[in-house]
Order: sequence, then structure tokens, then C-alpha cells
Amino acid sequence: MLLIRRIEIVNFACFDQVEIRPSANPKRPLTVIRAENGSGKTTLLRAIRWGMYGEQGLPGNPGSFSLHPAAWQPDSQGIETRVSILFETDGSSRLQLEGKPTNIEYELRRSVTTVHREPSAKDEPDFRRVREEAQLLEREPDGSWVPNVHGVGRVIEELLPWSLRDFFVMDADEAADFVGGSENKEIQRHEVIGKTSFAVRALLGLEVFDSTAERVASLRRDFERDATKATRNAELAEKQAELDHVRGRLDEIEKRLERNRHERADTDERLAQGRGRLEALIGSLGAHDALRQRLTDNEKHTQRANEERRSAARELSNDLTRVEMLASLAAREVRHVEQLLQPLYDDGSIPVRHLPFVKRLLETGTCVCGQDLTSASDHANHIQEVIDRSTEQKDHADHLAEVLDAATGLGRHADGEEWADRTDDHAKAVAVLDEEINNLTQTRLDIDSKLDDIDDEEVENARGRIGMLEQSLSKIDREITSDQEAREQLAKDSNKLEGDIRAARRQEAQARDLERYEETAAMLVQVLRQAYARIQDEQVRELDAEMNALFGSMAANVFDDEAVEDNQHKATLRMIAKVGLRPLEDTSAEYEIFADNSRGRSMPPTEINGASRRILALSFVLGLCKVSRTVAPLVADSLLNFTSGSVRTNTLRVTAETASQPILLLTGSDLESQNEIDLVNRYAGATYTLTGQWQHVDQGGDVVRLTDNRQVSLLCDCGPREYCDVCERLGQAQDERCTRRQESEAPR
Amino acid sequence: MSDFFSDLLRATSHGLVLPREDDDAINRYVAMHAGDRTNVESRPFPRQVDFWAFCIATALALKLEPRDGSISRWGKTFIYTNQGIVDNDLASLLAIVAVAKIGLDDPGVTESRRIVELANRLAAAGCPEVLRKLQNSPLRTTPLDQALEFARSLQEQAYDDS
Amino acid sequence: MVSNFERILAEIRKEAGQIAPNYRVDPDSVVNLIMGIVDLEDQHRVKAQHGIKKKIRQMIETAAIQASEVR
Repeated sequence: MLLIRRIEIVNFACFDQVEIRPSANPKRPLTVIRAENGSGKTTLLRAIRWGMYGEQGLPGNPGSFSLHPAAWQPDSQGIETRVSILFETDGSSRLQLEGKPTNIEYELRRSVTTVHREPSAKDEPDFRRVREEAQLLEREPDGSWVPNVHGVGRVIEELLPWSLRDFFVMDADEAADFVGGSENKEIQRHEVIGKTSFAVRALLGLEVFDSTAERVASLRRDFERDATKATRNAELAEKQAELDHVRGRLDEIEKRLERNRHERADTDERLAQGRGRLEALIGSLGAHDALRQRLTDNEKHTQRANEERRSAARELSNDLTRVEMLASLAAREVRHVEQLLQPLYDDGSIPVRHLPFVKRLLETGTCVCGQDLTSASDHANHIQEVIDRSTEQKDHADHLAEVLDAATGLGRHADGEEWADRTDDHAKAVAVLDEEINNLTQTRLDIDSKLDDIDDEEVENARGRIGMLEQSLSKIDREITSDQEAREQLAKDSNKLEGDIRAARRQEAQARDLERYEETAAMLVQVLRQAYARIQDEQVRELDAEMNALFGSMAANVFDDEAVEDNQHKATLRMIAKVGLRPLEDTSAEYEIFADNSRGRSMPPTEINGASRRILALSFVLGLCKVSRTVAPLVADSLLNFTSGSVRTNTLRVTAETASQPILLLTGSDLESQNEIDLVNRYAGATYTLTGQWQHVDQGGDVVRLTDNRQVSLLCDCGPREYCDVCERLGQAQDERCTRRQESEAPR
Repeated sequence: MSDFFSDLLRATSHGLVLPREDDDAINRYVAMHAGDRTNVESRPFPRQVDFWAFCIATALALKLEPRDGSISRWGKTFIYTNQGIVDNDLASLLAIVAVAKIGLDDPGVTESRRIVELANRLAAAGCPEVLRKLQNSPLRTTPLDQALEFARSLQEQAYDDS
Repeated sequence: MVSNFERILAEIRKEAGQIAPNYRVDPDSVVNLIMGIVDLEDQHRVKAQHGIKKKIRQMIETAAIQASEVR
């Protein structure tokens, strides 16, 4: 545990003298320092970092950052800059094991004097710093302060390691390094992994675990070697040399494996970026392929519709040859013929039906009337005449009878209705198919234009790049696999040699003690490795879940606003569905923060927007502190940048509820909405307002009163909706949401 | 149904004739070869005999006089009846038309030669009308549409008259 | 700044409880030995400790001899 009790800054850049007492109330742990942009927020953060880490905590080249007040005119006497940080720790670490009292108060004092110097080159500053001092005082039980025996560097490195600075004094822009850098700064993936892994290992105590196990393992080998030597057995010595050689090769392979893992991580990231680009480029490969599929389907349907249409048109063409239609055009003639021939049919003239009967009469020799027809008579002659005439006309009459028959048949179609109905049906079928074909054509044009929008060349390029990266990835993977196989083989060899050596050595009395030592060391290694594995496994899993929960409660359903405007589909792709921390494949010592989109693809940092990156980094910091039970301050600048609405409110709320001692530097616009004000009222145990005198109305700003005519930044106790003589800005007096703080103190 | 009339026409060889001067125009509306049904929109008639029959029906519906003069002077034979091109339905219709136009008094009314000759002359009379209709297709109307449309209008006319 | 020591200690106790009996060693002395080494290592991490390897070697030797005497 470490909590800051007081920060005092004297003569640091724009600060004359400023004192901050962060809240120490566990129920209201939040400290808010309100400051408009350009009022000295970042300088305040630098002052704290300098106080903790000295020169290392300042930007730029060593010595180039001017610590002294702007108003100071270089003189030989110089001016002293001082930062003092009073903090309390319960020594929840090694110090506790040393039997120190539970809570220790420390005061870290750092001071430096700036004096004038003639610049020897044009770009050199006209000052230099002398007498830099850092002192760590520890409060004795009797209340007196004595210098700490361990010294500043060691205790600070112990309590606030430089590599974990973002956990305690966070510039949200820099904290984004945990997730691949901020907007303007891209970092190699293996660097990100290194930074993340270091934080995880340091805060979970894995680092010390690992080095302990490593050291005991190395001692174990020493014992073993010494034991062999003690036997004075030449053969064994030979085997021992062989074993040493095998171990040397194992070390080499381990190193190569690590290098390859880093390279793999970077290639992986480039691949993820490439895939992201490709997805953005064409919506998604799936959509592209779906369009192509639709095109193929459309072609098939069109082909079928065209065939059906051709067949329907053939029906129509056949209608032109139907006899019903021809008969209906010849309706007049058909009716006329019917009328002409029907009487002839009715009177028996067509066809000649009486001929067989009359012939039979002649053959039998008796007429129906009873007259004898055997002898020649007039009657018989007449009948013979009828037979002759009828025989002569038979073909003609039969023909006409057939004509009547045909005319009667065709007459039924003469109105043409049946034909017209059928033709209508055929025509409708053609029209329906015409419409279908039209629709299909329209759809095809749509698909074509969508496909036209996709730049095939770019898609091909992106695919090509991905292909190349995939190839190099698989090459690295092959190397890793072969190294792993070699490692396995060597480990086997080494085990066998160890076994051989041990077996031979057991007979040697002198080696027994060393063997015992080795055995003890082996046991220690076993305990350490297993405890390590379990802690790592469980706590990294806890951290993973914790991060996702924190991220979710801060940024649930956050869309990339820009992308929404751009394209809904892309927005969904950019929506973060799950975040967390995962161990890098195949190695137990490295971790990586990830954000998966809704389709389960890991998003490269370039695809994650500014707000989400900050929140992701914050989830990591808060989650890791929680899981490792680290109690420490979180001095954070620009935390709410890029956020708005519920995300901003949630980020503030979760930070206030989760961090042990959140000290937030916020702008007026961060605190614009009532939700944030409510949170500050609920959680803040201390509030401050920082006001730059250079923002006075006379100088084009909106600060109403000039309290100090030097170019300094003043701190007052005003909360987010309060103002006083020091910090009042134009319009606040008229704003009914703001109140004047009466007990206006002298500026500190 | 018996094949009385188709047998009658098949029994002897008579040429089916269309006006020689219209030969090119006619061929534009008839399928190029048997089985060529890919382009029925612009070539609505499957065979020349179908075009020929349509011309006869047109002439009747429009009450046109059979074309006179020596057929060999203006006609071009495209097929002969003994090739069995005329089915019984069409053959019966031709026989009916012969009776209607020639009358019962002329004993030749049942002769295939006379029936075919009359049909050829009627076809020659209807042919220019059919061609005119087909050639004057408005934009976006195909010859098939035009022929069907023409058939309908003729139908109404013929039905009203009868 | 390791605040996780309680957890580490608990885990080492658990593992020592399972593994130490196989070596016929008292688990508590194993825990003490390990925490002693871890502590030295932690100090070394913050500021290099001179002769740390020798110190740890001696700790292991002493522990091994003590254990064999108990047996």
C-alpha cells in the first residue's frame, strides 16, 4: 500500500508555491483538480514525476527542461526548485518482512538550484542546474524525521518502480502504450507486450518468483556438477562435459525461440492490420463473396427465365398456326358452306346413302312397293337410272359430305374466343417472365455497381500482402516448431545424461552431501515452479475477467462515432465485444492486452478509437491493481479526453470507485454535465482549481481578477461548480449553477 | 378424325405459291430452318406454309378478291402438296373455302387442283396486307406481337360480318 | 511494490505441503527457506546484493543438512 498525503511544489515552472492534500478518506477517495487547458495541468503532473524520479521523469534531453519559474531572470545566485511528496506505506512487501512497523510515513524531498550560465552554443539553454538533492525521510515512532537508511533510489524503485510510472502518475496518452500507443504514436507490438508483461509480472510478484526459481535451478546444476567432480571419475567427467554442452545448446535455442516469438508477435500484428484494412476496404470478404454468389445466382435465374420466356413465346408463335384461328378468320365462308350443304345432307343427297339399298332392291327383284323388278319395266329402268346417276355422283357427294362435316367441326371455333383466351394466357405468361427478367436485370445492375465500388486491385493487393505475411508467419512457425522439437530432444538427452551421471555417482560416497543439496534444490525448484504456475494461471485469468468487466462498465456499447457516420458495417466491425489479457501462446512469461470485435477477430490498436484505447489502458491499470491488491495513488491527466456522454460518466465513476486514491486533473468541459458533478459531489474528498494568471481578461483570457501579476498558476480549493476571487471566470457570476465560495483563502 | 382432305392433297402434286415479288420480305418473318425457334419474336411463323395459311385467312377476313392472272407469272412455289405439308385441319378449311367461293354448281369444286389454286390466289391477295402489318411494327413491338394483334382485329371483323 | 506477497505465501505453503513430504522434509521449513530466498532475490532486484548466489547456496546447504539430521 502507498498513499500520498501531501504534495508541495515550490518554484517549479509556473508554480510559485502550491500544496495539494489528496483525499485520504476511503469513502470519498477522489481528488479532483480542475484546470482549463493551458492552466498548468501537465506541468503539475511533471512536477510530481520529477519529485518521484528526478531528471528521468522529465521530457526531452537531460537538463534541457526548464524547472525554474518563467519570471526568473538568470543570475549567479540562482533559484531553488523543490518538490516534496509525503506518503504513507504499510510496507506490504519485503520491508514488512524486515519487521518494520506496519505503517511508515516517508517524505521524499527533491530540490535543485538553477543558476545562470553563458550558453556556448546557439541552441544551448542559458541556465544550468546545480546542487540537485534527493532525500528520503522516515518518521520515527516518536514523530521525529530521520533519513532512511536504504536511500531514495532504492525505496522509490521498490515502491514506485519507474517502469510502472503509468500506474501511479498517468498521462492517459502515455498509458495508451499498453494498448499499442496513442493516436500519433505507434509502437511495435513486442514493445507493447514487453511493457504489459513487465507490469503484470512486477505487480503480481512473478518477476521475483521467476528469478528465485532460476537461481535455485542454477545452484542445483552447480551442486550436481560439483558432485560429479567429487567422484573423480573420468567417464563421469566426460558425461558431465557433454551435459554442459547440451545445456549450452538449450540456452541458445531458448534465446532463438524468444526472438522468433517476438517476430511472430509483430508479424501477427501486421497481419491483423492487413486484415483490418481489407475488411474496411470491401466491407468484408464475406460480403464481397456474397455479392459474387448473388451475381452467379442472378445469372442462373436470368438464364432460366429467358428459357421459359422463349418457350412461352414459341407457344405464342404456334398460336399463329392454329386452325381455330384460321377458321375464325374464315367464319363467313364456314357458316355459308354449312348453310349450303346442310339441306343437301338433310335430303340425303350427300353423301349418297340410298345406293346400296336401291342396288339390293334390283338384286332381290322386288321393289318396296311390291312391283316385280325382274322383268324389264319402266319402274325397273328408272331404278337402274337412279343407280347409274348416283354412282356417277358418289365421289362428289362424299366430298361435299366431308366438307359439311369439317365445316360443322370448325364452325364451333368460328367465334375465335377459345383461341383468344388461350393466346391471352400465353401472352400473360410472357409478360410475367418479361417482368421477372427486368427485375433480374435491375438486380444485376445493382450488384454490378456494388462490385464496381470495390476496388478489385486494392483488394488483390491487400490479399497479396496478407498472403505474404501468412507465408512469413508460417516460416517463423516452422522454425519455432523445429526449435521446440530440438529443445525437447535436447531436454531428453540432458535428462538421460543426468540420469546416467546420477546413477554412476550414487556409488560415490563423497558426492552424497552434494546430492542431498541438489535434491533439496530440486524440491525448491519444484515448489517454486508450481506455485508460480498456479499464481500466474489464476491471477491472469482473474485479471482478464476483471478487465473485461471494468471495460464493459465504462464503455458498454461504445461505437466508433466516426465509423458510424462512415459505414454501419464497419462500425460493427470496430465495436469491441471482449477485452482482456492473455498469455502469449507458448510462453509463460509474456502477456498481451487484446480487444476482440463482435466477430471474434482480434483488433489491432489502429482500429481502436482514442476513447476506447484510454479506457482499455485504464481497465488494465485498475484491474491489475485490484487483482494484485496494490493500493496506490493514480494521478491521471487527460483521462476523459475523447470520451463523452455515458462513457465519460462511467469512466469517472468506475475510476472513483475502483482506484485506491484517484487524483484526477480535469478540465471544465470534462465536468460540464450534471452526471459528472454528481459523481464528484459523491466521491471527492478534496477538490482544487488551478488558475493560470496569464489567462486574465486583459491578456485575452477569461480570468476575471489578476491576483498575482507574475505569470504563475494559482491553486484554490474551489470545487467544479464553485468560484472565488482567484479562479472566477467570465460568466460564472451569472451562471446560476455556480456558487461563490465565501471563505476565499489566500492562494497557495 | 379421318385424313380425308390431307390425303386428297397428298395424292397429287400441286405447288403452294406465294408472290415472287414478296419472297424476300416473307422470308424475314419465317423461321430460318426447321427447329430454329430461338427468334420467334422477329420470325413468328414456323414455316412458310403457316405464313401462306395466315395470308389466306387474312384475305378471307378482309373479303379480298383472289389474285387473278397467270399464277406462273407472279407466283413462286415454295413446296408441293405431295410432300404432305398440309395437315388435315388446314386441308379441310381449304376445301370449305373452295365450296364457299366456287359454289356447288361447278363440279370442279371438289378437285384438289382447283382447291389449291384458289388457296394460292387468296394467299397472294392476303400476302401484301400481312406484310404491311408486319413491316409497320411500332417501336418495341415485335413482329410476333404485331401478327397476333392483327389476327385478333381480323377475327373481330370476320365474326361481326358473319 | 509487491503487494501480492500474501497470495504468494499462501500458494507456496500449499505446494510445499504437497511436495515436501515426498522428500521427507518438513513443509514449514521449506516455506521459510523459500521465503527467505525470495526475499533476498527481491532485495537484489531493487538493488544488487553482493554475493547473493553464495548466500543462497549456503541457505540450501544448511537446510539440507538440517533435514537429513532430522531424518
